[in-house]
Amino acid sequence: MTAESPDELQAGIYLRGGKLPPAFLFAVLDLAPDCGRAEAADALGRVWEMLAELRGGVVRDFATTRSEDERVTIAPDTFDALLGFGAGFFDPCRRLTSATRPESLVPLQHPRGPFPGLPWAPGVAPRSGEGDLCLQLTGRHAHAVGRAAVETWKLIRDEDLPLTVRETYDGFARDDGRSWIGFHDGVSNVRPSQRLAAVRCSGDPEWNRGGTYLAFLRCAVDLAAWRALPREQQEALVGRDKLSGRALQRVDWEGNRMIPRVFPPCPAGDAVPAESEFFLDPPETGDPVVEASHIHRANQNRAEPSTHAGHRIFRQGYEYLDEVGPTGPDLGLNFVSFQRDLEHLRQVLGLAGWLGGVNFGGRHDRGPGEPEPLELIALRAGGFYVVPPAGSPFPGAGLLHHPAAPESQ
Amino acid sequence: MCLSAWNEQVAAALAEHVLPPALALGLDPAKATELRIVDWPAAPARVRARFGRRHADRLCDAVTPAGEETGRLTLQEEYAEWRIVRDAGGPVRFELTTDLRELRGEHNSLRALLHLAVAAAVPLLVIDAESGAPRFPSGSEAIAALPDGESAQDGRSADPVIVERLARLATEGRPIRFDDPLGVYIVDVQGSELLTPEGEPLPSEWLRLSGRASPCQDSLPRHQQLELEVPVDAGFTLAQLRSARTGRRIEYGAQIAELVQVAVYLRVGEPGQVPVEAGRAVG
Repeated sequence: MTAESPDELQAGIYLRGGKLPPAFLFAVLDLAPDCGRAEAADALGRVWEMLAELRGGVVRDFATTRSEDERVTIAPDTFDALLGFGAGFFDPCRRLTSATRPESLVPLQHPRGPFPGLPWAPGVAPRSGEGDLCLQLTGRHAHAVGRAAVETWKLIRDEDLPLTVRETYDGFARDDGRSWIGFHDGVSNVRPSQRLAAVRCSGDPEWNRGGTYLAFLRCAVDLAAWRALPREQQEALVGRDKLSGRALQRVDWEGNRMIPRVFPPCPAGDAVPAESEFFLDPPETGDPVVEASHIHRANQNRAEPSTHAGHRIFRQGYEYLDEVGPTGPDLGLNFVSFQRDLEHLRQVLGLAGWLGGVNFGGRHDRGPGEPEPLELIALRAGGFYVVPPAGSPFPGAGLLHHPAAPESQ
Repeated sequence: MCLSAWNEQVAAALAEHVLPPALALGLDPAKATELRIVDWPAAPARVRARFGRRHADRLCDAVTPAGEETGRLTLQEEYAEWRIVRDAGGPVRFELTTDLRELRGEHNSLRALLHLAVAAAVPLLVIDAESGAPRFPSGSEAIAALPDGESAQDGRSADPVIVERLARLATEGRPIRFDDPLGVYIVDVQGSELLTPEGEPLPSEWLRLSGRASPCQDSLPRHQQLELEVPVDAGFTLAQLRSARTGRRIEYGAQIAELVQVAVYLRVGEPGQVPVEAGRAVG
């Protein structure tokens, strides 16, 4: 249990690199207000057992009931499920656990924006995206993850479990490695060999040793405002060339006209940038316009994940599209990050010199021709969750049987 | 200590060290002008990791009955030190300094900072275990490769990020110097993460920053002292503030120190100006 092994982590955290499973569904669940520990443990055990069966190809609704029935199964291993616990689960008044609440696991502030540069979108209700529990479902196709969520609902209803699926958020991985703003996304992520160091908790609280923390932020993107910017200004805000994905080295000027310049081309030269150092982790440039871009602000110290003040997080986000209507598309990113301490995400999104000073990129003391720091993103939902190590009968089962801990720890 | 005496102390400390080509503190400033900021939070990461956050925060404020600030001397080790003034109701005033002349902890001296920088500013590459390709080292790897095991302490916020950055810059063949004046500076205070009893963010005017250069020269923040005290007419004290990060009332200085970002400023030249053949490589 103390060995640093990725096998301690729950499924659904893809440390090895490569393409993500294309389908995503994030379910927010609440336990009944009067639910006791034993009932909660029983409910979660049943849900986890059902999901394990479903993953093995068994749908309970397809159980044989007649002598002439033939056994019906579905394709196995079509999804992964991950269970997280929110701040509400640790509310002492609920008496669901005696385990110490992780210090950084708190509800996101509302109505005030939870981070200096990231406001809530208009009309977002408190606790949107924030529940006692979460289920992250990732899989081969929308039906696979949707079915897992629906089967969970069926089980809750059929067996009258003290649990509610309050809301779900869906998403998908694009096949071109880009986001809705048209730029490559996920390139400047922690390299696979370093991901375990970035996500694995080493204790404090001890019961989460080998686990991790999940941050979920459903970020709506103002695509119309973004498309009003000329390409070179978009590139200055992102820090990459729009088409090639190559990192910007500097910005040249012809009068007030900005000309972004990229680093020399990667030898692999593909439509999707190859995993070379300059694409994964662009060096500092000394150019103040480039240094104010999104990819540089998100990683100011260029440090490896094991370096505390590097504040590295492992991102595993999925795009979403709710609708395309007369006023334009309602779309954005399900930002999902895993980190060994939520403090790191707080620092990245809170420090003025990092992303706390702007909504997306750019700088307020800009010169003529530089892009204005655009208000591109607003939050539609969000929440923090602790993700205990994999376990039986379900991850985090020990929380519901935890002995009372000394106050000092 | 007056400024001239401080300058003499700095010069004497520099003279003790044989400088590698990269970290040439005596070089022509015009050869190294690009700014690099290396920043970290003021709360002690290693101490918190070892003792658990709550227990560590209590230890960092430890004062003996005789008034000796043992917590400050032994555990506040991120080139920033603080003290909490308390009354019967709890904390009423928070004071933090990054002025190297005022720091008293054994790990927070000018000598320690220079020793670390001199040892670290040497080219270094690591062979990545997964890809087999060379890459820049992590802070832990760079510290482990230092010839002098006492130069830096792994697990802190400051040392690994400083060592890692210097090693990377040196590996790029850049001349490096500390910005003038040499110091550790307060570059950000996330005061809005402190909430009043009404749940409102702390008014910024309650945070008083001061330091060596005020107003700041060349637009870079160069504050070295921070004071936080709730005005008497507010109707509550520091002890009634709550951290938005944890939901807890303010009991210990580290709960505020974690919201304070401190930094050193480096100036670097173009890559490739310094030969990197005299370096290290570990696999």
